Amino acid sequence: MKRKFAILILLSGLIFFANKAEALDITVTGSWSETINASDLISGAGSDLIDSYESASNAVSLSISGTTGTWRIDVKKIDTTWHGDFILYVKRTSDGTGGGVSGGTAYQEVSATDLSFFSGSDDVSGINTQVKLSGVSIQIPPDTYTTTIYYTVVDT
Amino acid sequence: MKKLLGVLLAAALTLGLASIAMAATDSGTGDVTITLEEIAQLDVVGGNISFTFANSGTTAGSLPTVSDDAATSLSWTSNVSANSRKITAQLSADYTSGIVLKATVTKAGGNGTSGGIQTLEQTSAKDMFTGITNENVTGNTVTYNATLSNMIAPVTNESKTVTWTLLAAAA
Repeated sequence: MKRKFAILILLSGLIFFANKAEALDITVTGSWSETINASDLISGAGSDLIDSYESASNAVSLSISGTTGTWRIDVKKIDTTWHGDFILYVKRTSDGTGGGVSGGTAYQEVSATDLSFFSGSDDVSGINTQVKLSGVSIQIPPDTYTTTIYYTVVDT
Repeated sequence: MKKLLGVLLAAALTLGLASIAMAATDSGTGDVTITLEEIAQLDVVGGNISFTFANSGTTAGSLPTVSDDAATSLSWTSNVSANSRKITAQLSADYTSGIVLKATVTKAGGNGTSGGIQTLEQTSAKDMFTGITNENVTGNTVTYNATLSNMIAPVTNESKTVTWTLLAAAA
């Protein structure tokens, strides 16, 4: 009887911790679309295109839930149709609501490899981020270029 | 019974630890879409010009002449995905028979080639510069040359418009 009771307690504990750990979640809301045309020439005919473009400061919003303490956000991109001259950057523009966040308030380049973006603790909602593109010029053929930014929350 | 309990414990432990390991991260995505449109912008810099075939300075027995005008220049910005572009020039209407207006573009930069001296007409646009690709250039001098092919009756203020166009090479 005692043995069976101990086993039951052990199983219950394992199930509890399993459920607790599965709850970590990041919700990403928003995207950025930019159209570049003749109106973006530096000074009309004879000039090149403006080099850099920024999204709205709240273009992409992140919400972190199911946390058990501290966490970190990593960021990377996976290109669909991209140009080698383009450089993409992200930065955090608000603290969101709840918990605490730190870092990531200066633009950092987004590459194909996960890099630390910012960190925080506890559940936080509505953390605004901004995206910037540089490297635009008349040397880039007209086309539609797309990439996807991956935001990964890591329990720390 | 003991063996069964051991198997159940092992399974539960594995499930629990696997869940703990898998739940340490989660990802979400945001798309970035950049649309770069075709750009074809041309500026004619320099304003209006005029030629006067005057009596003074004309040698008896010879046709009156005027000096070339090189006060006009072209600036352009172009991006293309395939075929290169060209610049054409065309008169709004022909001059009185006997008056000939020619023009040439001197390359200041870029990848293209000047079409040389062309006689401007109303009936057809002349290729003044070809082979334009992805480039932005300024200060390409237009030299206008006006001549009389034969003596004509005096005319005044015979004003025509030269239209310069940057377009696809296939056009």
